[in-house]
Amino acid sequence: MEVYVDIDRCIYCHACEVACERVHGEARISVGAVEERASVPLFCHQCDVAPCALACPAGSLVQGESAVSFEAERCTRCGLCAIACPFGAVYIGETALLQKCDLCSEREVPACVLTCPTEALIWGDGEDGAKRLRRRAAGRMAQSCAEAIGRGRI
Amino acid sequence: MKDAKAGPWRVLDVDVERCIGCRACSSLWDEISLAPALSEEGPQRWMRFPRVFEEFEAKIAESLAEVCPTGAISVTLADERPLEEGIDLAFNMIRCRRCKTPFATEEEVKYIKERIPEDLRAQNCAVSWMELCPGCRRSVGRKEAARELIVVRSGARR
Repeated sequence: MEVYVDIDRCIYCHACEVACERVHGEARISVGAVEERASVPLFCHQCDVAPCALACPAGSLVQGESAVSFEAERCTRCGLCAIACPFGAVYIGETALLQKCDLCSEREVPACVLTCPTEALIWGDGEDGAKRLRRRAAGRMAQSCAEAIGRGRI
Repeated sequence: MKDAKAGPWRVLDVDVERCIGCRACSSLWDEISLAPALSEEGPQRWMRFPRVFEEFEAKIAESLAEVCPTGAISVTLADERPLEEGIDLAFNMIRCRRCKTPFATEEEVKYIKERIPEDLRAQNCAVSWMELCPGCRRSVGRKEAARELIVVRSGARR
């Protein structure tokens, strides 16, 4: 299972960050605006070949089949993972060790997904998540076509 | 009572060829100080390692060598107290190509690059991401993700 993002629905409310912080002590997801026209939540991509795990000298970040796991007891706070991550999605925390999305391994559904008021964050497996994103995109396309026809543009 | 001035002394050594200036040791032992600095060569990270461990720091001395990712730190017992108070190292920092903020030492980046396969580094980016600071990587990633959406939304407002 993975978290998918439908950025068209993201309203820059930061509820995901708050939910994440409540569960983990610090937020592992961050929402940022782009040109004041869009906002994008950003978090660990759970890479297939994860640079953070390759860089980790302590065996704290471990490459798994569908996710990159983090074993806190092994972390030495060297900070190399944060430099290695291509997405800037691994943080060295202020209070705890490193902060990286673990898909809320201790919960059934990640807190950010449960909290997102617009369902911009989707919890699903590869097929399911992609299908839901496609269906939404098709719906939006249909609606804008209908509007254009209504205004006599087509 | 044991004379506090007597040996043997637990002495810390740093292999300057191996140390990459990461923060594993200083996170464990706050006597190792770390500071940003500016030299003629550009931004630097300065590190100062104390040489002698006090009696109560024996446990830390043991773990320090373990946390060092490159095996640069070693702790030995010496009969004589070393003359110099500390070991000072300076590392050149790499500036982010986009925002110019120094974000990693040259040695840290070299260490990581050696562990990442070449084909992965070249994948879908003209500029290797390691030339950007983590914050700029997020900005660039967001911009890329929102590109189409911004085109659509800009059109709708016209």
